[in-house]
Amino acid sequence: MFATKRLQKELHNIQKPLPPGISIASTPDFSNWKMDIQVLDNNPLYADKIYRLNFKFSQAYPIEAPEVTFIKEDGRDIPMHPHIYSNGVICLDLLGSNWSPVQNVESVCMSIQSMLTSNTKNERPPGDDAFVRSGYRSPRNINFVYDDNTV
Amino acid sequence: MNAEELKQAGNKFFQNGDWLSADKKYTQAIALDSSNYTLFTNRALVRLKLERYDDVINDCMSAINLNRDAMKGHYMAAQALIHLSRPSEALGFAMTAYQLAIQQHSKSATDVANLVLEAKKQRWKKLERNRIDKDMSLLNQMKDLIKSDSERRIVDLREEQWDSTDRERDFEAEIAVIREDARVQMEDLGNVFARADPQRYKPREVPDYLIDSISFSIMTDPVVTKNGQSYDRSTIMDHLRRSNTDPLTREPLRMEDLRPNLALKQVCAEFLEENAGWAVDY
Repeated sequence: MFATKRLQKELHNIQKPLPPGISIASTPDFSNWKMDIQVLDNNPLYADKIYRLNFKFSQAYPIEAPEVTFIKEDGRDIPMHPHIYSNGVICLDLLGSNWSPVQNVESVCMSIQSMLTSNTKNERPPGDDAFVRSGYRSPRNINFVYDDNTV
Repeated sequence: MNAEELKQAGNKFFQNGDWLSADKKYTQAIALDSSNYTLFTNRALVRLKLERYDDVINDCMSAINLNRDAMKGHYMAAQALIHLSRPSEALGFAMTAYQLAIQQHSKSATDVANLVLEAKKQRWKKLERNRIDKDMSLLNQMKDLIKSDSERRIVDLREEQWDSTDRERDFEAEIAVIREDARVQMEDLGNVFARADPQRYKPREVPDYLIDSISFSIMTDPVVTKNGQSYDRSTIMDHLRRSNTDPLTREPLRMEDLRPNLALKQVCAEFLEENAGWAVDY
């Protein structure tokens, strides 16, 4: 498999300037990276806040999607969003059934950034409490229902 | 036990990492049935672990003689030959293994493709070393000529000094000049040789159009999709096994829709011919 080699090159590429609002928090090894993202317009839900994304890569990356969640770390919170559970799990088809191996860490960050930018609802997905209690951490094990296409 | 039972016993030892016992079982199995090529490929795999590379090659040849399409036979022969630093032969086996892996839709196609690259890299390094040795020997010959020429002139000068009655003439200074001239000449010569090898000063970058956008490595067998994007055959196959979609457009895409990109393949091959030593790991 070519996961490590591919991630080495991605790491090399993102040493060049990243799009505004996206930065590297830490890249301890080739199975786990942390990225910081920030919404740049005046959306009152996210103004002046920085959020942290946790990327986990399997050996099959990029054939298989990375596991991407928001984490609470260094005072970062989980952003309010109807597709983001309060334990950080993100409902995004791009990270599941619609993953494509030409996507990369940078493009995933940009997708999540724009998902936040366009949101106006200060709410969690329906059934958030039950979902968090069930203890699911891995978004891949869940069959999301994308019932709300307005967000 | 019959041959099949011995093979199963060998497989069990193999799974537990007991290479020697596995080797024994496969050897007993082969004694009973020397017509089953998988017994030879299994034993070759054990012997690869035991680093008995000549034996690996013999077993692979037996397997290939029994079944010309034994992908693993070609694959392991190539691995053993790489360990024995015989990259040209390894490349032949690795390329055949790659053809078979593609035909048989093998999941190992990516690994086999990497082995092809590894063989190319090793072959390039060997050629490069030979070339440098040759250049160096030419350089050293010319340096020897400069040196012997200056020594001959110094000997002549000493003889002249012996016979000379000219007290004004500073022979030591003249000898120093000869030595200094020789030193400068040798330095210049070294610089000329370095300039004649611009390859070493070229930036080591693989152009983007030779890079597979899934693995981010240089392509060896590019295929083109309906919308004109090229991928390496082994990586797009990995993707299509998981999802029958075009990675860029998400339209349906099947292996049968892919077409070889022969011109690009030629460009990649030429680039690797000149740069395999570093481009493989780029």
